[in-house]
Amino acid sequence: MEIVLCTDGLSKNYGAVRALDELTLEVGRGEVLGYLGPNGAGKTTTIRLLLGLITASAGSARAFGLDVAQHKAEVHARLAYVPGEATLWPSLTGAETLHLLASIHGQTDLGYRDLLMQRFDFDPSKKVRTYSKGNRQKINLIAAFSTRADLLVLDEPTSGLDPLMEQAFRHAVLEAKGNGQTVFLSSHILDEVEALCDRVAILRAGRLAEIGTLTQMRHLSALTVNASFPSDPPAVGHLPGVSAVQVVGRHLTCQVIGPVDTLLSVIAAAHPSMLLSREPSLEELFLSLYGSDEMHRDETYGEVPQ
Amino acid sequence: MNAWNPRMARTDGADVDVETMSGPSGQGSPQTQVLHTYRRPQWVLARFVARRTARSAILWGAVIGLYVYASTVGFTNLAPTPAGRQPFLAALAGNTGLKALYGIPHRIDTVGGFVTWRATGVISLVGALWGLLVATRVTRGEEAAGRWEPFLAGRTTDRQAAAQALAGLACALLLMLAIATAVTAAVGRRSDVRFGLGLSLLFAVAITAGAAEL
Repeated sequence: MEIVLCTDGLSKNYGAVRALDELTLEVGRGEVLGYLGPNGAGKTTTIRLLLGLITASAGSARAFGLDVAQHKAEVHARLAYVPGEATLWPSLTGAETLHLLASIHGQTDLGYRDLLMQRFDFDPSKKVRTYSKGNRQKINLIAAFSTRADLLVLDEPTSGLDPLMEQAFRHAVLEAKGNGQTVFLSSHILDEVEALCDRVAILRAGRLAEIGTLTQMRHLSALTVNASFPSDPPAVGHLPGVSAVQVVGRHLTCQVIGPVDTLLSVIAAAHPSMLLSREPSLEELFLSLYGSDEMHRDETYGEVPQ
Repeated sequence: MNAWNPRMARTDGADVDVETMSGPSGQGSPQTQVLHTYRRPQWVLARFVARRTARSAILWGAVIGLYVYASTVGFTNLAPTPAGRQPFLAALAGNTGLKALYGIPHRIDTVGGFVTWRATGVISLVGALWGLLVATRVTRGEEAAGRWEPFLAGRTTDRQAAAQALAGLACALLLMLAIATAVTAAVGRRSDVRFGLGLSLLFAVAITAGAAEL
């Protein structure tokens, strides 16, 4: 697979705070990479480094084989960026802003832009100062997708969008993917990442905690097992990998990490009337990765600037 | 082939510069790409800054012109002959407050000397303040508001972007200079004044230099 974007030991310090610590990842052509992390984990710092807007303390980032810090203009010609905060020019109209953003990028697909304006139900005739946050975000999204850029870098792009517009956004991302465009999607909306992304990278306190497909990641987390029995449920708490055992009447709920054969044989021996097992959702994966020590991190590092 | 729709481009803000088409038509199709390219995207910021500052440059150019006009007409209307103006000019030249405001007077018995004395200091100060405010607004102010980021994410570098912003400001200054020169030259055509175009330009450069310094 052709590599569109890669980082090698990319790090950024803000004074004594390590905002990003040795990030190494690759994103291939036509891939949608979800970039997850709680607030202050270093997502926006990563994106600003990928765009060359800030200088890396160590390591490097390359897009299309070019170092992003040294070949900014060439790299930017092939990417479109949606910032997390839609700060636009209040005195311009929506149409003027779209035109300005397109002329900054250098190219746009006007037909596709019209289509996106319809899908996002966007009226471009008003002044930007009269638009809501969601409408301003639509301008950035429409401008970015209609460039048809090879790489789309989206920083929490759906903040402020209503669920209907969220669908329009997902549609556009999948279309971009279908056209062979690469999408780097920073988000903390887990449903969105789960629905759109081929791979997910999870950032924790500036470090890449996990990267892989959701299937690969699910192996890292516990499987939830629910079972009902005609009599009292068997004792399973002592079995290897089993945790969070809850017994309510004749109903058993537990989680298991690793091989499930021992647990299944114990459950089977008790003749269950119902058995249900469920893979962890991305939300459960996310929570299992961060868990309660997230509070501890905040105390240790203080607020990490984005 | 109906890939390019000029009417739509005009409603857009009026200056799609060059249109090119790549690939077959198919308006709005998610798969078919009909790309329109824009002329010199690396100079968008300069054009943007020039447009955003042009209105205030025109306004202040006109204010400078009006001040020069008022000073000139005021001088020539003071008295019909140079001898008649003398007592009044002597009183002005001896006024300490005016000296502090406008500087030491030189040859204020001539129309050129009088207008230069009245205009240079005051207008330079006003121009300097204008330059300071406008330059701060389009550089640091816009950056702090986060509105430089879209430009910096375009086909430019930090240095090029700063150079573009300065180039845009320079365009606005040239506009201000042109208006100040035009008004001075127009006033100079009066039979009792007679500033040449060259002198008018030199004078306008002198009085707008304050704005350019910043």
